[in-house]
Amino acid sequence: MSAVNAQTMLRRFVEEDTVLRAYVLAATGNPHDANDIVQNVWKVLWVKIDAYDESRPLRAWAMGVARLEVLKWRQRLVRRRECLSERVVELLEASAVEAADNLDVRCEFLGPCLKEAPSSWRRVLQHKYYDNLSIREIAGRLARSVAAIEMTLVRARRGLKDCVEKKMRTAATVG
Amino acid sequence: MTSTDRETLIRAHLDGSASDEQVRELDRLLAADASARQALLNESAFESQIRVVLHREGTAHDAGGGRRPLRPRFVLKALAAAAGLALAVGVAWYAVTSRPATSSASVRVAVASSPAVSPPVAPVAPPVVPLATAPELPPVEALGVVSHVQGMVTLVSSRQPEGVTARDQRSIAAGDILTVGSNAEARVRYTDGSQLIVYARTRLSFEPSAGGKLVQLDQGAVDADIMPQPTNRTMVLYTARLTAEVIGTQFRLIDDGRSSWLAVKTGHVRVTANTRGSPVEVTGNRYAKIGEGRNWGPFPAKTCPYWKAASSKAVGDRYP
Repeated sequence: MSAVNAQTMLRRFVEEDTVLRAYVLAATGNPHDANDIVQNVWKVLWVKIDAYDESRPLRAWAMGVARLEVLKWRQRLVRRRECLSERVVELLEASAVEAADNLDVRCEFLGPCLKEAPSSWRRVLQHKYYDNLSIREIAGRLARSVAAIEMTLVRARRGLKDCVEKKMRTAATVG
Repeated sequence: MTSTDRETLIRAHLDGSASDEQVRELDRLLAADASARQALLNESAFESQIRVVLHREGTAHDAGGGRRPLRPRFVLKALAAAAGLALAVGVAWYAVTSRPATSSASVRVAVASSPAVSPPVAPVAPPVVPLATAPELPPVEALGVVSHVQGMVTLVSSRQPEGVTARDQRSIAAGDILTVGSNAEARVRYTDGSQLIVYARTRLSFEPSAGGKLVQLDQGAVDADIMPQPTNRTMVLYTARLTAEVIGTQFRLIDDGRSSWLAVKTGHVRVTANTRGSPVEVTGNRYAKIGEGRNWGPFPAKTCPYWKAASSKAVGDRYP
C-alpha cells in the first residue's frame, strides 16, 4: 500500500472510531477492556489492510472485527462472571451500525459543552473518565461523600446531554 | 420495566458495578427491545467521547484535583522578561554539554523503530506563537507543540542551538531537547493527540525517527497518554536502562538516576531492558523497573514509589 493510500485508510479508520468505541464499551461494560479491545481491532485491521477491498464499506469490516474481538473477550471471561450473551453482542453490533451517523453528530458538540461545564463537574469528570478512579476514590480525593460524587456525576452527564441537544437544535436551525 | 429501572441497569453495566442478576436482566431487555439497545449505545458513545475529548484536549488535568493551576500566559511573559535569556542559555548549555553520546540504547531503538507510515490522525497543528526572546526560524515539520508551560522550561533545537524559553504552542521537531527546571512542568501534545506531561527536573530528547515517535528520557519523569499507534509504527520511549514500545496507552516513565521505572495505567507497553533481549508486556496497574535493587516485574503498580504522585513536585520529591 502506498503512503497516500495508507494515510487515506488511517483517516477512514479514525472516522469510525466513535461508533467502534461505543459498541465495544456497550458490549463489555468495562472501559479498560474496551480500550484494549479497540486497540486490538485497529491492530488487526492494519495488519490485514492489504487484503481490504476499498469498494466495501469500512464500517462493516471494522465492526465485524470488533464483534469477533468482543466475543473472544467474552469467551475468556464468561466462566468467571456474567456477560452479555452472544446474541445481544450481535444485536448491539447491528444497532450500532444503524445509529453510527447519529452517534457521530452528537459527539461533535461534546467538546464545546465540556469546555463550558462548571469546574466542579469537570473536576469529577476528569477523575472518573481520565484518571479512571472509582466513585469511592474520587470521594476520598475530593473529601466529599460518595453520594455527593454520584449526584455530581448524574448532574454533569445530564447537563452535558442537555447542552449537546441544545447545540444540535441550534445548528439545525442555523443550517 | 420503567425507564428509570432501565437507566439504572445501563448505568450499573457501564460503571462495571452490575451484579450477575442485573447483567442477566439487562441481557433479556437488550435482546427484546431495540430502543434499550439504542439507549445503551447512546450512553456508551457519550462516555467514550468524554474520555476521548478529555484526553485529546488535555483539559483533564486543568480541572484541578491535586494539580496546581497553570499560570496564565501574561505571567509567563513577565517571568521570561525578568529571568532573561541568560538563564535560558545556561540551562540550554547544560542540556547540550551533558547529553550523552549515542549509546547502545539508542542504537537498539533505531533498529527497533519502523519504516515510515503516516500517523493515524493528522489534525491541523495549532498556531505557533512567536517568541519574544528569540526569532523563529523557518519551520521544520512539527511533531507537536509544547503546551501548558509552567515555570522555567527550555527548548534546544538545531534551529536555535543556544536554547530558548519554551512557551505555549511552541512547536517541537525531531532533534529538539526539552529541559524542565525545578518547580516547573510542561506538556507536549503530538499532532495525533498523544500527550506527554513532563515533570520537574526532566530532560527529554525528541529523536529523529523514520516518521515515528522516538523519545529519550535522559532524566526525570514523564506521564504519557498515547493515542493508538499503527502496528508497524509504534512509539518508542527509552532511558539508559530500558526501552518501551508503545501501542496506545497511559503510563508513567521515570528515570531517577539509579533506576528506570515504567508504570502502566491502562493498555499495555512492551518493555525491554537495554542489557538483555526478551521483552515483557506490562499491562494496566503494573510496573517494571530496571536498575538498582530488585529488577524487572511486572509488579503491582501500588508498590511503585512514583505511582501515586499527582503533581510535578510530588514526583520530584521522590527522587533520591
